[in-house]
Amino acid sequence: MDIDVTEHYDKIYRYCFLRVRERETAEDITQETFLRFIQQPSYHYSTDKALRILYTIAKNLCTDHFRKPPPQALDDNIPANDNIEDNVIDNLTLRQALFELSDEDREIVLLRYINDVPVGVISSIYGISRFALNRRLKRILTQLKSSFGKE
Amino acid sequence: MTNKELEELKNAFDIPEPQHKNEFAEVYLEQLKKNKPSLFPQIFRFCSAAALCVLALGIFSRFRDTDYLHDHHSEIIITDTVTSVADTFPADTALPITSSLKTDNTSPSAASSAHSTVYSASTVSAVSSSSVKNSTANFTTAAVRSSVSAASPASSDASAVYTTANVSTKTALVTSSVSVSASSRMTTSKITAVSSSTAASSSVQTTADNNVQPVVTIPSSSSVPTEKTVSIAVTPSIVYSADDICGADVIDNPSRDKATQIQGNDFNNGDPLSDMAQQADVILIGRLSDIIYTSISGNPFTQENILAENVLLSDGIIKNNVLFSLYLPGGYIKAEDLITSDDLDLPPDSLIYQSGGISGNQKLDSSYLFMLKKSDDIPENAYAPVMNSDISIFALNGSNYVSVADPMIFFSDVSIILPDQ
Repeated sequence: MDIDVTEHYDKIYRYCFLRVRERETAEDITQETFLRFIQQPSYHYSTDKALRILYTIAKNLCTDHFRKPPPQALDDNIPANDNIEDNVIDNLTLRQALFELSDEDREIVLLRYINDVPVGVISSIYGISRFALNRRLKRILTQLKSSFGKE
Repeated sequence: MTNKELEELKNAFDIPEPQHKNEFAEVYLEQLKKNKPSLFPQIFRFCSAAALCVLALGIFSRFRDTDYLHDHHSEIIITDTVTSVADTFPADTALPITSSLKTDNTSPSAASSAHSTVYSASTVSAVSSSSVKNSTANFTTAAVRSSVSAASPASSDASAVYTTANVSTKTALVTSSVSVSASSRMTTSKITAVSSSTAASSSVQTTADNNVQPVVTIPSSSSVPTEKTVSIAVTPSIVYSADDICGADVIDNPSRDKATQIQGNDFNNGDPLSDMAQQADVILIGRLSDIIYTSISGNPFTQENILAENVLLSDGIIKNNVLFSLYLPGGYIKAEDLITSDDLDLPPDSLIYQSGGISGNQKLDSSYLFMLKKSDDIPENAYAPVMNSDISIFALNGSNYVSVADPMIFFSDVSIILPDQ
């Protein structure tokens, strides 16, 4: 297997955190993702396919997390899902622009520009074509361009 | 997107750093060591890919061999062209020869059913067979040894035949016969000139391209002449009875004890059929009617009385329905009449059999093809076999004429090209 856990742990964690908005939960899902990944009979596939499997597992685990009943007590250290604006200290304009994006668009931006996931992997995760993904990324960047450098 | 913009974007997401990354990495690596990947999927994948490649190659090669895509209408068209020899004769060259062309179509697969069409090289000089001792004839034998590929089309080689008015000439033409199979019928004849005349004056040269000569194919040997038989058989002065054959001692002729010794020694060009045909004065198919044991000057001889059924090459004397005598060396002789260098302590009245190089494979009332010649050592009107052995006597065995002395010498068909008469 060509997956470096120290490198991809952060990326999977960011992806999970973006979806669940809870650090501990995101970290648990990330670890569960890797543990399930090594149990795959074909986890020694190529990097692209391994990434696709990893993100698919993470995505499914995040989805399963929201299907579970909500926890009774919240951890004080974890920011709530709806107070992302409250955690923003700087670059408020860009955060506002990201907040105005849909959840899927934010995930795509994270995967493509933060985690450097190949376009082919992202397109296969979301079930869209590479050209559609490129058009979508171009549209998202057009929305975010005006927010860059306006700190 | 620039690095600065990427950094801004990363900060904008405001994702906290994970807290248990290093701890999980250690656990993950331990789990990874325990869960080593199996090589079976890789091997299975490699083998399946190789098998698929082999299968694809096999299908591709099969596809190419059978050529399914192209030429679905390529069928072998067999055309059977029967050429009538009579039609090929020019009207002005009609020859007074009672000849017939026999084409046997009874069994295409058998070798005897050869479509024998001979494009003959012929002479144009008229030679009277009754006045000339050695008549001019072109003898054609169909030699089996010269096999012809069945795929080759019919072809004819021109051969020059030289005849003169003063010098008798025998020209033996060896013709290859063709066995036609059921799937591919063809006719091929290849004529090779063997000899030519010695006199240069008044010679006439013709080739196969100029004249077409009729071909006489030997009819079935079982045909019985209906004409009256004329006997010129020799009456021997001494006759030995072979009734007491049980008491006879066998003495081989030391000079020629085996007929096969003739091969390779007495043939000039290594082709026994051609050589024998050259040396023969008479070639015929006759039926062995009688066998008489006699002696000449202390040497045993076997006299065979033969009824000529189909004379292929005549010296002017032997014709159809003529009963004549053939003298073969060897036979039964009394000990007192035998002149030999060996000291034999035998009773004078005892009967001795000396082979004389004769195989003795002939049977009474059976037809054979004889190649005969005249000899000074035997009575007049009698004939001796060519090579002084029964190697020049051929028995019809199926579709082949096989030498009674050497089964390795045989031919499939005999045709005689007769000159103008």
